[in-house]
This record gives sequence, C-alpha cells and structure tokens, in this order.
Amino acid sequence: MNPLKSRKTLILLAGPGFIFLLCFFFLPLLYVLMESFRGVDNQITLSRYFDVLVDAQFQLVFKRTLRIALIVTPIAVLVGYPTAYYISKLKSKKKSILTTLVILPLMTSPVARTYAWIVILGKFGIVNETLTTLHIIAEPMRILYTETAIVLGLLQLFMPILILTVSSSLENVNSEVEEAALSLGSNRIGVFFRVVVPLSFEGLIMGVTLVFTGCFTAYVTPAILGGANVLTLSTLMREQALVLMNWESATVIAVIMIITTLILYNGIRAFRPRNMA
Amino acid sequence: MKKLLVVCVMLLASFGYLFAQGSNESVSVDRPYEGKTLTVSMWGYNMDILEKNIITPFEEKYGCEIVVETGNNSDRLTKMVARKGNPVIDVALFAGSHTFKAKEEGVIKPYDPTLLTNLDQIMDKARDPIGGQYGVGYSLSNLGLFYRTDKCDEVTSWKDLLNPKYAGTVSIPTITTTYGPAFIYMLTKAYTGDFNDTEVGWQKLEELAPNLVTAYGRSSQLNTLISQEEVYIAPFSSFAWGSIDASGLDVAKVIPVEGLPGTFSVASVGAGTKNEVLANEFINWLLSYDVQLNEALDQVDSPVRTDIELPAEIAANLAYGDELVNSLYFFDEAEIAANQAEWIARWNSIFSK
Repeated sequence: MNPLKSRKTLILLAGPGFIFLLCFFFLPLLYVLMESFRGVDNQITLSRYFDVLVDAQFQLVFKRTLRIALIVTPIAVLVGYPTAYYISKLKSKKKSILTTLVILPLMTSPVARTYAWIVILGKFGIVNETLTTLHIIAEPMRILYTETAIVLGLLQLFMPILILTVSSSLENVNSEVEEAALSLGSNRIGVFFRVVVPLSFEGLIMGVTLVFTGCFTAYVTPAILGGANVLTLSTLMREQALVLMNWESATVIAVIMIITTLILYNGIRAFRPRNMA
Repeated sequence: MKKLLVVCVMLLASFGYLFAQGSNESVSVDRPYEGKTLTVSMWGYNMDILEKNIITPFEEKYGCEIVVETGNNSDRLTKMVARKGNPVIDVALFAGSHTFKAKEEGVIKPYDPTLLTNLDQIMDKARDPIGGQYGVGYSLSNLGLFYRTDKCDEVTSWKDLLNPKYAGTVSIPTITTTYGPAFIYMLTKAYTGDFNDTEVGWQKLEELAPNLVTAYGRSSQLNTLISQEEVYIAPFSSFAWGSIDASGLDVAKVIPVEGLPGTFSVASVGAGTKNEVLANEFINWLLSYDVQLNEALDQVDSPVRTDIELPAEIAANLAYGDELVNSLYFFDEAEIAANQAEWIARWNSIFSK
C-alpha cells in the first residue's frame, strides 16, 4: 500500500498545519462571528447587522471598497496574465531574471512601497512633472489622496501575486498540447483562449481571488494613499475599533467583508469551463 | 600576616558584593530600581530627542529599563482598555480629552502628590487638568496656523483657510486627533464670535472640505505634506513647529485674531501598575527642571514649570510666555469626550462622499 495514502501518514503530515489553522484562524474567526451576533444584553440578535447595513456611511464605504477591488482585479488580469504567459515561454535564465523582477517588490515592506507612491504621485511627483513637461497637462493633477492613488498602489501590491500564481499554473500546460491544437487547424488566438486559458484556469481563479480579497481587505495602502478623505472598509473598521472602541460594529464589518469575499470567490468559480468539474 | 590581611579584605569585599546582589532595592542609592522595567505609553513623535532628554537619563539615574509603547492617543487608549484585565502600562501620556476617557474607562489612577515634589513648580492649570488628580500636565501645546509666505498672502485669521485662492493646498487635523475638535471650536469662533454655536463651525468645515488636500492624522503626516509642497496653509500642533521650520521652505506661523486653542499633554499612572512609586517618580521626572528646560531648548515640548527661562529665539517657537499662555483657550475635555462619537460620525458624513 502506498504509505502516502494511509490515514496515519495523512494525519502526521497535515495535522500540525491543521491544528495551527484551527487555533489561530478558525477559532478566532468563530469568536468574531459569535461576537457580531451578541446584543447589548448578551442576547443573540441581528440588530448590530441591521444598524451597520442601514448606515449611509457604511453603504458608501462598502460600494467604494468593492468598486476599487473590481477595478484593480481585471486590470491585474489583463496586464498580469500575458506577462505570466510570456515568462512561462522563456528559457530558464531569462525566466529566472524576469521572475526575480516580479518578486522583487514583494521583498520590500508594503509600507515603504506605499510611501514611495507619495513621492511619485504627489503634486510635484514624477507623474505630474512628466505630464506637465510634455505639455499633456497645464497644471499638476490631484492624484494623491484619491481613489486613483489607491488603485495604483494596490495594483503594484497585488499584480506580482497574480503573475506568480498564474505562472505556476502555466508551467503545467504542456507546450505539445498547444502544438497539437495548432496542427489541428486552430490559430494562435484560438489556442490561447481555448486551450491555454482553460488549462490554467485554476491558477487564474486563485490569482483573481487573492487579488480581489487583498484589495477588498487592504489597510495600509488606502490609509496612506487615500487619507482621511477616502475611507475603505478596513480603515472604517479600524476607526470603529481603535478610535470609538465600538468592537461590535467592527466585528460586523469584518464578517460582512468575509461573506463578500466568499460570495465573490464562488461567483468567480462559476465561470470555470464546463468540462472542468 | 600581610597575606592574611589581604585575604580578609578580599573576603569582606566579596561578601559585601554578594549581599548587595541579593537585594535589588539596596544595590545603590543612585540606581534604586535596578532590574525594574517601567512601561510607558507615549507618542513616538521626536522619539530620538525624548530618549536623549527623558528616557536615557531616567534609566541611568534610577537603574530601571523603560519600555515604550508608541502610537496616537486613540490606538494606545484602546490597547489599554483591551488589556484592562491584564494591564502592562505603568505611565500613560495622553492629550487631555483622552486622559478624561482613560479615567472613565478606569485604566488610569490618581497620582501620589507626595511623590510629585515638582508639582509646586508648575503652572496652576497643569496640576490637575482633568480633576481628581488623575493626571498632571507636563507639557503645554497649542494649535497654531502656518502658511507659505511665498505662496500665500499674509494670513491673519482662521477664516483664511476658506479663502478660495488656497483651494487644493489646505490641510486640517482629523477629528480624531488631539486638536480635531478644537479646530471646530475655532471655526465657530471665527464666524460667530464665540464658541457656542458649533453648528456654524461644522457648516464651515463642510464648505472647506472640497478645498482640502487631505486631513492629517499625525503631525508627521503634515510634515510630509508640507515638505512635498502639497500644503501651503494649515493648522499645526506647536510641538511640530521645529520640523516645519526646518523644511527649508518659506514658512511663517501666525496667531490668528480669533486666538489659539491650547491643551496639556497629561501624564497619568496606569491603573494596574506594579511599579506605582517608580511611575510617580517618572511623572515627577517629566516635571523636573532639567527635562523641562532641555525639551524646550530642543523645541519638542513647551514647559509647564514657571521657573524656566528661555532665549527669545527659542521662546518664539513654543507655547511659552505669559502673554501667549494666558490667551490660550482650553476647552472642556469632558465635553469633547462626550461629543466624540457624534462628531466622528458628522465628520465621516462630510468626508466620505
């Protein structure tokens, strides 16, 4: 019998990780969920959800956070997927160099990276200086402390993750499959959309999920690049918890964020090709 | 005989050393708290200077180690409340309104006036700013108004922040900062002549909101905005003037015709402290002549001691001098704390559009 298939081996290998997740993820999550239903008199109630969901400010911030995530994610796919495909076709030396360049931003502190955007996007930053020098704009634009700044910051933060996730999935696509498709009469575009993308779909789903979830729950980038003007759910949750000490509303916001990402994840998976169960 | 004498002296010295090691409190008169750790909750702004003037000399004098927890008022107060069942903070430094909230939450306790031997040397207002001896003001600050002299006309009033000419170059403190609520009061005074009808202040804030670059949550953020030349006119905390002045830009600060709000930075003893005497000693240390003088000379904290004499060029950059100090408006911290939730909601409704 294959020792890797025995229950004992499975428990030994997966057990420590599962226990870690149970103690430091599932149980705290369960606690947060239970707290969100606890009312003033320790009764179980939905009143806190009602209070948060009808609040106009929460609705506005929720829509904004969702909008930002839904803008960043497709841009990350449109730019990141072709990049990952190109990298997957390279020989090992060039592939290694480009992969390193993709990973390099991930080795820098997200706070440091985000602060760099302040210099780049500022009134006299690189972007405005270039545009005014080229006479594309007459006066510097307001980019910092807007949703645009947050979108750019999140793109830089999460696109490498999508590229890496899709790259590893594309590594499993045998190039002979593409040659076979070509020999059977398909053109390059057909091969790409009807063979490569479906075969790498699991990696793409994972990448999209990571990017969307990351954008939806990001704190540092919206806090620094959005400022007080542009609240997102994470910064709103922080304000409720750390400024107002309103832990009940903060837990409700946290649960709503989790539910939203789960709904989106399952929604994305609904788009997988039919022949992939 | 000589050898015997030497051996006896060495033995006596060894016993003396061993005896001293057995008792922390009696190691040395000069370092009575050797081995003790004092945890202080404080702001991180100007930390290098605070270490030089306050922390390191105190550690050397008392033999203890100081562990700091830094952050803004809200974050640190929330942490203290969250850890109420297992407190770690011995001394907490907050702005007045947050000290009041800390008192209400039960995370601070009254200081021991018998241990604060410097109490008689500080201004009356600072001795018990929130009542019940729950804290002592160790530093005075005010909200000032700065502007770029090369980008703005002469600024004389809080109303100048709403000048359409400066649209897109203005910043203000967020409502959750030390001076956030005070700014609303000053807008109210500017447009009504007194502090009563804050609704006017809020309406003016709503007019001002579209003209802001952003509202800043920390003085360091304002410094960044100024050095990046995003902001040409803004209210600022007086302890940040040194950094603003050092930006190399053409800046000036002004006392607006409507006046300036002031507040104390308040030091309190943590409710669950296991080092109550040392905590009180630390607060007394903050009020000592050397600390107050050095902090003032480094333009970090304005002194509350009445016997500090400062050179004119330093004094001009601090909340110092009878004329200025007596003209400052000190708002009711209890009222500010009571309004907090409502004012934050109002602020968010203006800015989250």
